[in-house]
Amino acid sequence: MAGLNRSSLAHFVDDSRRGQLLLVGAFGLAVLLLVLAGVLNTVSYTESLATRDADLHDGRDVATFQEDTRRTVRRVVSRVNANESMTVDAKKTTVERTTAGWSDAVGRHHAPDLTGASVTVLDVRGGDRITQESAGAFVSADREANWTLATNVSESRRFRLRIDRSSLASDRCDNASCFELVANGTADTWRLTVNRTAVVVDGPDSGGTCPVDSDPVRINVTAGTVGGEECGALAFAGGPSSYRIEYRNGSNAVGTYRVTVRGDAETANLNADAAPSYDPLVYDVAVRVTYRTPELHYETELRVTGGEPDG
Amino acid sequence: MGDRRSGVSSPRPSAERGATTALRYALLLVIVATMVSGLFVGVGELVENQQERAIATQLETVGNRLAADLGTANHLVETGSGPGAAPTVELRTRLPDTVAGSEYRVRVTGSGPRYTLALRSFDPVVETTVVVRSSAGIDGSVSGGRVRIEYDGTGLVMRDG
Repeated sequence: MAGLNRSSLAHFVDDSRRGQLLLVGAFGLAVLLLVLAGVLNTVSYTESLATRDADLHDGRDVATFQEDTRRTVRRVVSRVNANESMTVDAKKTTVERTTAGWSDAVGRHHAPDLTGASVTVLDVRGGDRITQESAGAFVSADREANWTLATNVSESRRFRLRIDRSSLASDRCDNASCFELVANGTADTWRLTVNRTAVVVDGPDSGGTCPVDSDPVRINVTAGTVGGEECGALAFAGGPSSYRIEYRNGSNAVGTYRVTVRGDAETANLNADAAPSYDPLVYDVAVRVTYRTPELHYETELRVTGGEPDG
Repeated sequence: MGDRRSGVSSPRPSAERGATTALRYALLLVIVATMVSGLFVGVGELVENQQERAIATQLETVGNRLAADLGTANHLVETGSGPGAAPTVELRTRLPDTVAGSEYRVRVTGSGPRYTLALRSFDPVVETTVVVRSSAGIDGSVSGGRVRIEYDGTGLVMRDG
């Protein structure tokens, strides 16, 4: 028995085996510390993930490109509309070609950044600008006081009247002598009456009166202002959707006016050169903007309006 | 070795030699085992806590990145919306496959304009939320890796891929 014990104890107390437990423990701790290092590395990676530069710049590049496109197309339309010697078809073709050329140039500029940027013209719509630039009665080319400026009008913009106050009828319009601007639709009629003291609006969805207290009387029909002051009654958007623009009692208003319409100018009542005149132009342009990067595909349609010289 | 044993145990009777050594060894074993297991438990808990903290931090970061991408997509939808057809917005982004070694999933809750991205890791389970504001609706759920955010004409949908 003693021999057995001795032999067992000799096995246990063998110095060469004493460190085993410590070794195993140290190894286990080393593994745990390695895991800890890994976790801490993950935190470090997370921090680098958080500060990674965003490739899309919150979409600002796209918005900038889209705004550049809008501005460029508007400038092109403005240029061609300022050229009164061009036919409206030539103006449309010029807008299409110039926009395509600009799209190619922009595409080449963005190509090194692996970005595909392009602009495609979808539609160019024509319209007419009707103006009386020198002061005179608001009558037709044939001196008619009740006449039509444009038909089939679906949209109009920059409709501005500048009327000498003294030429207007007095503050009573009972005898129907006051100057009237009428948007005559198939079902509804929107009517603006001007006398020396007030602008009176009567429309299907809106109506009211705005005072006149300056001379000349400046009315911005589409912006809804009289004498630069906002006139809530002038809610032109409440008018009919397709209409004729007519003047009534035009001989009782002297001044200038201009309007750009998407519709047909009544050429029989207008002159090509002398006042009141019409000028065919590009009313608006629809373009498709495409912007592609490895991370993004963006596409939208823009309708660019404006472009006629604002003289 | 024999010298040392004889030197140390010389005053003791030879019959107690083995017993004393075994006792000392047993005590040594107990002490070392206690210390090692204590260290194991301590370090193990430290590692576990650190992992949970790392997961929570990383989930929050992932959520904020995803919220930023959703914000970008929403901004693009607003930029591209007009009288024409609805814009096409398809944004691809890359999130970590795992957070501190754990897989996770992101779901959208709430309603416009204030949505909540709920991020949940599976092992260990850690949850965190990130708020995102969007005028376009947000729907879908993703589980890291490649993520696509698309505008379907009514709202933003995020999906894996």
